[in-house]
Amino acid sequence: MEISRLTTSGKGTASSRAVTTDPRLRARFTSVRGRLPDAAPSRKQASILLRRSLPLIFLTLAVFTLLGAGDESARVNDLGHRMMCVCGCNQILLECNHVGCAYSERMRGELIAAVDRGDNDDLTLQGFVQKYGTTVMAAPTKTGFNRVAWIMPYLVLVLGLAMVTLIVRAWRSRPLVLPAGAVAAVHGAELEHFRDQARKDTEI
Amino acid sequence: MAFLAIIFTTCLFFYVKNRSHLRSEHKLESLISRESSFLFNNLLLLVACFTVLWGTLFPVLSEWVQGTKVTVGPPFFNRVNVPVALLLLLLTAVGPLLAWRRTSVESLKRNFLWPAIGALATGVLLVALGMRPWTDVSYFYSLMTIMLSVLVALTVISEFVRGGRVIGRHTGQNLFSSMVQLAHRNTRRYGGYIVHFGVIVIMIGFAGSVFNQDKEQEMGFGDKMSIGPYTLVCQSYTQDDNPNYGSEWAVMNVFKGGKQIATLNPERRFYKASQQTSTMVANRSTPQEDLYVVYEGQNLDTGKPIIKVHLNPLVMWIWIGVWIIIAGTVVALIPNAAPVRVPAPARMRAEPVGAGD
Repeated sequence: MEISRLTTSGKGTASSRAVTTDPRLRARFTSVRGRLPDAAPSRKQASILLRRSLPLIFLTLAVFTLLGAGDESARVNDLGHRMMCVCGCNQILLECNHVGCAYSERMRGELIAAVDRGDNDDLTLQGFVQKYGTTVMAAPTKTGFNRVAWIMPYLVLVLGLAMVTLIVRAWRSRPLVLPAGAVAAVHGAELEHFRDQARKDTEI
Repeated sequence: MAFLAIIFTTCLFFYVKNRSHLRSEHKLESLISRESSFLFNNLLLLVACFTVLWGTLFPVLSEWVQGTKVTVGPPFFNRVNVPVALLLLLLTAVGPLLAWRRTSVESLKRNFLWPAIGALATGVLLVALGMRPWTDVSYFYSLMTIMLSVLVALTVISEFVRGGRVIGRHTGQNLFSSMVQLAHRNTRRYGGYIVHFGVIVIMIGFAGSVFNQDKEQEMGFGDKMSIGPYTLVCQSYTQDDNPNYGSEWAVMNVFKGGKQIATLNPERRFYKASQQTSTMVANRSTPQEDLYVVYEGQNLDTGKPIIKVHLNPLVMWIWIGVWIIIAGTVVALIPNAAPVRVPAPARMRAEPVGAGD
């Protein structure tokens, strides 16, 4: 509905532009301007400018409104994927697929209403948290103690990488323990010689 | 928590007690070696495991610390574990091409050049075909998954082809027979490569989930629903009853490009004895996508069925990947054709314990 209304507006402005560029009307307009007092031309020029820029203004408004409509739908999609349905199904709000689920239908309606009202993301989410509790959020927030939830896995990864690197370095420098009668490993130039030989033999 | 503490303490006790037995008889020579890649591989698996444990326990911890319970749902696990899975995929590509003990830069260049070019070319092609990884992080992950999967596939294929060529040159067999013989000579190694190949096929299937679509609509006689390239037309809907169950079902004609390609019958049953409702999904599965039609129920006001349709790309790849993994495992279980015994040179024998450095 919104899109068709805007499209109609656009067409209207386009036709008004055609009127002003008609040579006969332009001539009439010039003759009228000729009879006006001195102060009038500047007002008329402004009017012409305004009329000529109307299509541009409408076009810009239409584009921004359409973009806004896309933004709103993207925002509903984004926010709806950041919350859970509270019916107990343990599904993301927009993915709850129960026919006639009283909670998800109502919550989706509330979400769309909040976005239509122009509430920002924080305000919208805060409204849901106040109404349904903190468990409505699908993931911990990035404030306060909840930050720990996000930091910890990456911290473990970084510490693990550092530890593995240190272990490898420590193992590189430790002496090799061989059971009695075992064959010792070859190193350095001898190892490279064997590698080259193997490459030559296998052509790999 | 108490159970976890007991398990952890028990494992730690036995680890400390048997530490001397766990000490390796070998040593690591370089960070860029196959041994190191195993270590990093285990670390990544451990981090993924820790993330699941952490996400499961965090609500309890939060309630204890803050007095409020939080939900740790899919967005948390997707954001934290997907990068870890991508790193694992990278190691799957890199690992087999690293030499034992130490890998030279020359060898890395030689082994990775073509697979890396192939993976990059795939990325460029996908972007040219319309994939926009910069618009959403999930598209970025999907693109990375496909690129890394191509990298793994090319490394595995290059391993088979290079080995097969060598055997072919010595035996005069064609490439395929040579590769079969190659796999038979070292079934564990080449069975493992086949398993790697299966894993990447599954990963490509997962990457397709980013493009999932679904639509729900009340559909009367002749009503249409469009999703992706498909148009579904409700030909009819009806009810049936037998001694076992009562059912409601719809007949949906599926069109693609103006041509009818299938007729699907989504159904909903009510089993009388158990008083349970069951949904019989109608699925049209192709390598490209699954068209998954669900009879969700009936609108009591209009009597029309509510149909939900899911269009899930590349689902079949997940199933194919599982079969490839099973095939790879079977290959790995087959005994080697001819065990190779290489006598050690006499001059390398009988060095004193502790030697080697």
